[in-house]
Amino acid sequence: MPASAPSRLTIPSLGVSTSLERLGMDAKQAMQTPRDPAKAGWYQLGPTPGEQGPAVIAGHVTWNGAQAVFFRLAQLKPGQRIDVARADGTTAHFTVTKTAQYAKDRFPSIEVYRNLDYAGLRLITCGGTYTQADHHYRDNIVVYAQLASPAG
Amino acid sequence: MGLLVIAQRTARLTTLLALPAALALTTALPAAAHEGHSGTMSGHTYQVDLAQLNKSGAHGTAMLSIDGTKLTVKIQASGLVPGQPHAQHIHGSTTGHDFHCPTAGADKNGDGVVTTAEGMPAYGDINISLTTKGDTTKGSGLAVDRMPVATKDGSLSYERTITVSPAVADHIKDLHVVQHGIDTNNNGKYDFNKGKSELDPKLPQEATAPTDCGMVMGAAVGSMPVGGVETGSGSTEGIESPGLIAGGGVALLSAGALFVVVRRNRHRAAAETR
Repeated sequence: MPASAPSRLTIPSLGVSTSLERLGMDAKQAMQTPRDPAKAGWYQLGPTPGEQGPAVIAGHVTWNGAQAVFFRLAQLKPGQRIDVARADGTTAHFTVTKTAQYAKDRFPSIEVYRNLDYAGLRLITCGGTYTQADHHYRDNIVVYAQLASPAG
Repeated sequence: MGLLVIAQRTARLTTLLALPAALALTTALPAAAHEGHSGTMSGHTYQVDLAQLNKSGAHGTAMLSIDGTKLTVKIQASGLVPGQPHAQHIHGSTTGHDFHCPTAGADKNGDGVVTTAEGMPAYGDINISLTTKGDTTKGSGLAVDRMPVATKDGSLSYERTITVSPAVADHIKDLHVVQHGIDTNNNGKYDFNKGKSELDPKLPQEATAPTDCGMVMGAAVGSMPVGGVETGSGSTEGIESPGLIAGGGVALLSAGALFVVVRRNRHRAAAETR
């Protein structure tokens, strides 16, 4: 599919439907995270969902003790559907291929961000052991998906 | 021996230092996320697909991120000679020469191995030595005690941020990445079955011959973020992610936890051999 900015992310099996913020990098070259914990954000320095390459959408798992948009992301299983509506009026339909958990200090940047010969999508949130003292999840959950079929 | 001990200490020290840094990030990042949404465009990322040379079976991916004159190199490769150090460099010219990865045709003496010397006319001289610590100039090209060591399954992870010259920063697209070290007789080590290295007669040819090479090309992710993503909680106590609680997540999480442990061990193995 040609490049077109994403407008809405829908994950039917999790009951997630959210408009999308736009994320860049912060001063430390780390990915920004959404301002609104109820919304996910598209990493705009990467490909648009449906375009060839790894499109990335990140969202919070919890925020101030309440569930956030990607609270159940870790439960996504291979074969399940993710839809991304785009500014050009098309919707990119993705199929989950893998759900993985990584320690943040061993985040597999190459696997997540490397070039692809297809249109891919990576949904990222936090997971693993939560440390009360510093409100920190040790891990990231990454859901890998592949474009199933572009449709109007 | 003394060097090895120091190397181990350094590795351990790095691990210890990394932890507070990661924790410090946690408190800094949510604030940053709240402050603005401009998104800096400073970094630019390139990808290198490493393809085998000398029928080594080695392959991998390197990501090069340039931010001013700070070059961050990440390499993930597999199919390497297990447990052996692999010299790795960025080769090429920043003054307009058109270098590229050599083909089997570069094997001038026809012994079946394209040596580093035979490959040199194709891929140019060493520009940066991708050592694990210390000097990164051409002079460290064969500093095998500071080169990353493949794990026992033949994979290698490397990450380092290096300050480079403005010429390298401007001409990064003209460069390429080469990893060295092959095992033509499949005996699990570098030996002299293909003779001595023409670069250093104390080293076997197998230790210095190239095993894979890749040219710098664009990355679909124009700018690769550093590290993981701080998508955790903002503040105060509260519920945790349901992965640990809900039934559906349990199987996944134990698989995930196992994966993390395996990765850790692999990393530890890599760190200890440095």
